[in-house]
Amino acid sequence: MNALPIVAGPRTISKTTGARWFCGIDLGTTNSSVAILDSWAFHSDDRRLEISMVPIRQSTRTGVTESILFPSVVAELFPGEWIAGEGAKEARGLGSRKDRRIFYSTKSEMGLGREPYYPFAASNKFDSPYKIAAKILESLFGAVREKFGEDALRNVVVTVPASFQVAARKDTLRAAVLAGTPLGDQSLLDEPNAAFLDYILSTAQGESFPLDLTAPTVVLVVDFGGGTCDVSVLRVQMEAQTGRLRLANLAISRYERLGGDNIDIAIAEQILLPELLRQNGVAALDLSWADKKNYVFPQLLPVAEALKLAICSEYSSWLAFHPGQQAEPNICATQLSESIRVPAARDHVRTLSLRNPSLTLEQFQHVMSPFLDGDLLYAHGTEFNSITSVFAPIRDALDRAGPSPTDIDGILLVGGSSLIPQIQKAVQTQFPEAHRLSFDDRDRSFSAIARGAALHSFFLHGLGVPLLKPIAQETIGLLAQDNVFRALIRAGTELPFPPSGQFETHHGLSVPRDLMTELDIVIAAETPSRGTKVLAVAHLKPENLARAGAEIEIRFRLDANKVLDLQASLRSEANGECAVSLENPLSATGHDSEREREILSLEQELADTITRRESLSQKVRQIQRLSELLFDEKKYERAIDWARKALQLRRDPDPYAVNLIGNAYYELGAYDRAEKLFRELTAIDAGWGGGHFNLALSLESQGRTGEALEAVSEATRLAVQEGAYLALQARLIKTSGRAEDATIAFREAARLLDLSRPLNEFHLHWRITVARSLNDVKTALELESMRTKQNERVGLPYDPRALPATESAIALR
Amino acid sequence: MQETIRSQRAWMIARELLTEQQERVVALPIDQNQFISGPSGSGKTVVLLHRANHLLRNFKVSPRQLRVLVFTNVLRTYIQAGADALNLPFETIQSFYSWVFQLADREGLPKSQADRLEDKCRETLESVTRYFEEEYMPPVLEAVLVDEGQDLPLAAYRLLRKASRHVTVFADSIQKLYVEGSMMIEAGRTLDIGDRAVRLIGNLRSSIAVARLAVEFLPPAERDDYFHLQEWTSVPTRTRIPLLVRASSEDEEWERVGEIVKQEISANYRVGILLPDNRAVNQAYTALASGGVPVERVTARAPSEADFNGLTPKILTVFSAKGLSFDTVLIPRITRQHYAHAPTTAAQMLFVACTRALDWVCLNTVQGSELRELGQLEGLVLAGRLIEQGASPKNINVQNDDLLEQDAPF
Repeated sequence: MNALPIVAGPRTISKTTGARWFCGIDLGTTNSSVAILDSWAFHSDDRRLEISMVPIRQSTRTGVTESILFPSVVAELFPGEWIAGEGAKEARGLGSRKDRRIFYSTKSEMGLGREPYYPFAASNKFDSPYKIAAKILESLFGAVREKFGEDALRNVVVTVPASFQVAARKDTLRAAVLAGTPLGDQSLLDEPNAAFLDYILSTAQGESFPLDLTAPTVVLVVDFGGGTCDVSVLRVQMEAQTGRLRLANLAISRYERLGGDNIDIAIAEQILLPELLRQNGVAALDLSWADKKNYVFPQLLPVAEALKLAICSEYSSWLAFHPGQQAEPNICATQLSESIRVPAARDHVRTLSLRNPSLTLEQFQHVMSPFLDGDLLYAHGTEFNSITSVFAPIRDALDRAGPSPTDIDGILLVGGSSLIPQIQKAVQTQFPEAHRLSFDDRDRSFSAIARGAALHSFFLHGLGVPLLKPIAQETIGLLAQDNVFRALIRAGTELPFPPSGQFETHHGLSVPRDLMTELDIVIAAETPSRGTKVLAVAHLKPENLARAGAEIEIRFRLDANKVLDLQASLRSEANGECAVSLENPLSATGHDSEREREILSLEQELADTITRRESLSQKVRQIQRLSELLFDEKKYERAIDWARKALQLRRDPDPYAVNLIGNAYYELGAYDRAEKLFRELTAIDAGWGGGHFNLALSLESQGRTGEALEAVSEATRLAVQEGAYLALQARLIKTSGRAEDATIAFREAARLLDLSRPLNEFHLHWRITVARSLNDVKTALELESMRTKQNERVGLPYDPRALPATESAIALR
Repeated sequence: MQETIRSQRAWMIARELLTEQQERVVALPIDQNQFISGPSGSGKTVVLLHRANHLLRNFKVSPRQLRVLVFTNVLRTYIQAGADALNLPFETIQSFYSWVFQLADREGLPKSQADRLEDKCRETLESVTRYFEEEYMPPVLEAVLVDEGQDLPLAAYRLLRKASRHVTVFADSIQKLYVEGSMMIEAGRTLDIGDRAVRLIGNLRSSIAVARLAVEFLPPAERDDYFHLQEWTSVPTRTRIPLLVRASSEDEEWERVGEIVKQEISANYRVGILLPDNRAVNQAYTALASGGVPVERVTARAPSEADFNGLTPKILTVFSAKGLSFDTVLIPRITRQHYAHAPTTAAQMLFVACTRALDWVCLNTVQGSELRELGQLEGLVLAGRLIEQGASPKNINVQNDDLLEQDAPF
């Protein structure tokens, strides 16, 4: 046990700015809040750190609420008239309308360099996430100004997710400018660090503090809020003489769009939507993807959130009354019946009623399980949600930091979603050795980040001695010949480096041999645990012949925002220069996969042009591409929506779109719908065997073997060499009871699906089917190991050019 | 169509979440009688239940030898719902007079012939008390805990002193609603406590905004006292400013009340709808239920049907609500006509009704027939501590910044 002194900051303070108030703002994905530190209390004899949360007045339908939490929601109720906070959040339940726009969780979109995709184009006041952030900041600044005066806005620190990239940080600064209070240079603070600052300087005082800070201590901070899950690994030590805290970031997780919102969507999607459909006798596919996304989910989410909160509060209280009890209680939360409004044809509205929506603890545990899985750390999203285990960002941060879970001395859980009892239990189970650091007050989970920001503001702006300085987390350097690593900036170096902000020059690298062509400058990072990893390669092209041994001058700097600028130049007569700028090289992440990015940009482009008449064929091509990408991402309902749009645009039967919709229905298990589409397809293009083949698949799944056989016979008649068709035919023959005939057909199919040639994913699937049917286990296992689950494909995409198949396998695209 | 919401939402708090001061009260010794006073919202009922549990488990008092006595049947049901979380046996919680009648039966005392229930209660209590005092009866119980002790007549304390080895009384003198209520100092003397009362201060759960409204219904002399007993240790996460809705007709009033009730349920708040008398309760029930608002009527006659761990809003009289607390309290029908026959002053009733709220109070009336006492609230409205609305509120304050629009220079 080791009690911290009351103030773990510097003891002798001479420099003050004279300002009294220091302001910290937590600009959250779901809720925002403001804390104010009164420095007069600190300068009094007892050196108190007095921080208070600022209540923010918010209009609602039932008058006025003053709350320290300000929902990060902005609504444009009528063109030009907007509201933020609680009242805007209330409006969320009303659903979208052409003239009513509600923006929430837009923080996830900050800095993406693209406009957010909204169902209805927003007015220019709200067409960017940073402009929405500005409206939220405007309200927060207003509350501070009203209570403490303009002066309190002179020293503001705003928090951002540790994993925010530079573009997102810049967007945050832009938002502050737009809201009328530009921020200073080091005024952005990482959220987990802010929470830890608050913890260490307020809660962690006194006897019960479990960590010994005289030695270096490793703490894992998990900030699991409404929209992001941000993890930071910190090393903490208190200098014995000065009592000054040294905090260093060992690692931060990659950006993870995972939060309480995702749990709400999961409840809405897995529990409420099926119940809504069941109660109203509506088939899942009767509502389009867009109906669900733009109308049904926005109305279901408030219900889902209320049910989640009720279950969590009841379960927490049960746990408090029954410590150590293994059996789970029966808890059921219910909510009021709701009318869900969905647009129908010609401006009519269809009302679906959701009677007595409820959620049991058991259902909730089930919904939560993928979020808590310690093994399956990849995202397994649905069409409406992305679901990732909370341990994915935790492992990611630990991998970067190097320590194993047993090296973690303490874990601090913050953020609203960290109050979910299941999350707390799961973290405890995964890190049994680590001390659970917790705030003595539940509400602190909501306010810790803003409070930490106010503390940082005070130490930084008021005392000129920031408690936490950004540091380089890994050693950055260059990979020379034979992979020799040459360090430029060592791990732990305080940023900016060099402190002047100018460039540092590094000598001692030379051209390895005479060369005329490009020379690769390989920038790499090195960690003791993971060796070197290449961050980027710059190409230095000499203007003239570069002689072996000619010096290469390297100039570089890493600024406080962790942007690395590096220039390389050849000084000799060879002459040549190159420069590279890397954003936050040490948490380099991808937001989305390549495919997801292409989907987003196509959707964006189409949203802008879809209503215009020109370039119809280009639009159709784009939609084809988009729906195919969505199909590959298993976003079948959304693919159907877009393919339908292509049909609408072309106003004539488009076999590509019809086939894609059929395939999507097939994947969704709606075989009767798939059949209808494939019949249509065989009418449009009777000469393509694939249509008959796909039709046969949909009939087979409905148990109509005879009809399926007829259809597949037509397919094999059209393409005699197509092994996949024959394989299906063989399977149907077997189902109809003619085992011997089936074996002959399977053998023939095996011959056609020749293993000496590379097989695409479609043929691979059918070749495995054939091998299994012929009891050729060895081949089946070999082929299965080649196949990745993601690429499996049963139905055939429309591609008449490749058929009839002769010698070569069908080219998929 | 009416529906019920059976969402569990226990109001009870686990022992480790009690404050130090509350914890001290739970563990007070039993070698002498104890008297705990505290204002509404200081958590008396929660502390009482934990103390009962503490006596059962730590002092090994048998459940048959322990009673939690309350004044109303509604409060009994409410407390039983909380006791559920602690696994306290239901039968330990009893209304005071049912216990008195039980004693009279057991000892074979002659039955009271009075017609009115009040008289029957008084006569039986007197005869049982006399019997215990004059016959030198030994105590029949090990421990008794009394909630809302300010409402018991003095004779009750004389009986408790004789019938139980230990008595802990929880009381709030400002809440005194019943004419028969005894002077607390007298009661303390009877139990040999004198004025050695433990005061629960600190207003842990209820909102300062609610308290500011409630004190407006106290006589000016008592207002300061009330605030001195309160202490708001930390800034609450959220303070909702109380609302006063002036509808233009009764229909409009119910429509708005229904709308607000629904909104409160969707935020998981426990709602109490409080009215001056049973007739008004029945009217409210009919009006709301026929409007499709899920509500539950809690009557003194059949209180055990009420599910106090459920989220369905409760409609009850202010008297029945004594000792209960809700997140949100709606007080409809604050008109001259409805409070004309109130057994105590309208102001006193509104004070009790408001202090049932932990979080938010919504007062409702009809324009033109407002109760005179509502006039006292003008100062609060001016100070921004009470919001006034018509029945169909103007759309919430939106901001129009077309004139301010200036894009940042990037």
